[in-house]
Amino acid sequence: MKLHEYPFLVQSEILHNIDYQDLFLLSFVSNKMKNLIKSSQNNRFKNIRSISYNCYGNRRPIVDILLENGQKEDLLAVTKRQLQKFETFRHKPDYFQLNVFGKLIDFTLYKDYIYGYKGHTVATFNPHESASVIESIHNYILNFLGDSVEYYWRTSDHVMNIPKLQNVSACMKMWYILSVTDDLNDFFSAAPDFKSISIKTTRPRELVRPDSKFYHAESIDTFQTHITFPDIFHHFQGKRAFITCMDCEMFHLIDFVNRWKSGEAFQKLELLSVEVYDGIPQEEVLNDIGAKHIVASKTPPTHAVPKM
Amino acid sequence: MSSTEQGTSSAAPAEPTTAPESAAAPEVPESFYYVHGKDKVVHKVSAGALQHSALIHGMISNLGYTEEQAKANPFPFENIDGDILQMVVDWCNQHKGKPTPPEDTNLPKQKEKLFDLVLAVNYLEIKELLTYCCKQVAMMVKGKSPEEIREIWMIPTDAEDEAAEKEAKKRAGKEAAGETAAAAGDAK
Repeated sequence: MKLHEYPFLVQSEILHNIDYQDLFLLSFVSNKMKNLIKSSQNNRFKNIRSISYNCYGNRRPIVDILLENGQKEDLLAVTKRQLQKFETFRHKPDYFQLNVFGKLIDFTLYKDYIYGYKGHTVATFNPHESASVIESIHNYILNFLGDSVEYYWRTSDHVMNIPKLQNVSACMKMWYILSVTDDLNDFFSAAPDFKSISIKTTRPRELVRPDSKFYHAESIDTFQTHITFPDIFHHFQGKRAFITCMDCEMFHLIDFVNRWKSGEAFQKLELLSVEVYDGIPQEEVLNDIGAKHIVASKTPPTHAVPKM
Repeated sequence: MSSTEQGTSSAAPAEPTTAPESAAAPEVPESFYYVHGKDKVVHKVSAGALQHSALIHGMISNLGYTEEQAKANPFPFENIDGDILQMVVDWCNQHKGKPTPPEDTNLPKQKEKLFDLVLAVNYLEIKELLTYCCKQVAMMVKGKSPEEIREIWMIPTDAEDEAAEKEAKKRAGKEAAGETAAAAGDAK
């Protein structure tokens, strides 16, 4: 069977029935094949909403594709290569090497590899190679699927450093931070700027230093149960802040809003949402920030925040 | 099952056997047409079954044959192997007047047969069958490495593509030179 002998429309229909992870592998067969995929599947690629490098639970990333209709497809997993002595008799992987954007990377095909991974394509790396392997894979995907797609690096931990990749926005959702041991300062200083951060912690002290990149995130959503007035009120540089506290000194909040209104600080801030468990004395706050009244019928502006 | 007969290359085909009638017989007598492939075996197919093929349906509409004329002039598809045309006719008969299911598991498993079937179905413009065939071809490479895919679909390497391109250019150059020389000869 010679695929190249089929008319273009038939080739296109066949490729249309191949899922993304197999298309990804097929693109390595030849340059001509890669170009055929790109030209014939152009419209299909327009239905990709985003590509995510999901790095949950201290694992290396699983790359998935989110389509416009909300469906998700796993593209590949990237993981450390197992030492030969740990390869089981049941599964001795066959590796094949691919030239991925100028770097030779060993791949293998698994049926059931990682919990939560529904694919079969796994790219492996040797110790100390992870950054270059991930960078090559990303550059290849960027070239293959195009830069009109949104790319995200999503993490739920601060163990693996986030690589600086072209066109990739970093997002963090961290709901378990150990009180004493976890130090986020080094992590944020090595990370690229964040698109969004969602953090929930019971730690009785601030998460990061005042000059941390943490405060440069475009959107922050925090729930710091044991801090009455989180530092985010002082240092935030981003566009949207969603802050939840157990209790809060109102003069801090009023001061924050007045500085924002006057343009003295928080020039980029577009939306602030504050929720205090002990309640906010509405009259007092509205008077002190100079808000005359609230029009109950008016719909507040909505902001799209990347889904985690 | 379609009815077939061993035809000859002569203009008038022998009387084909009649296809078994479907359980629900149509009220209006159905018209039949005749097709043959490379092997000249003539297949008698109802107009209802042939509606799956946009190409044949168009031919029927344009020609306006009577039953007798249709019998005397089977549609020739010399580019389609007999066994492949038989598969197509069977499929059209099985799916006559029925909504097509989302999957078809009766397609050939052998690579070469499937390859020929795709070409035939594409030529005859049978959209639903083409979709099934393409799905089946696509399934062949599921979970396969690039080298395995290359082998299954016989995809040339970059080096082979380059060599073929060079060869094609060389050939085109020679042909152009030949045409120029012939034109010069004519001018003399």
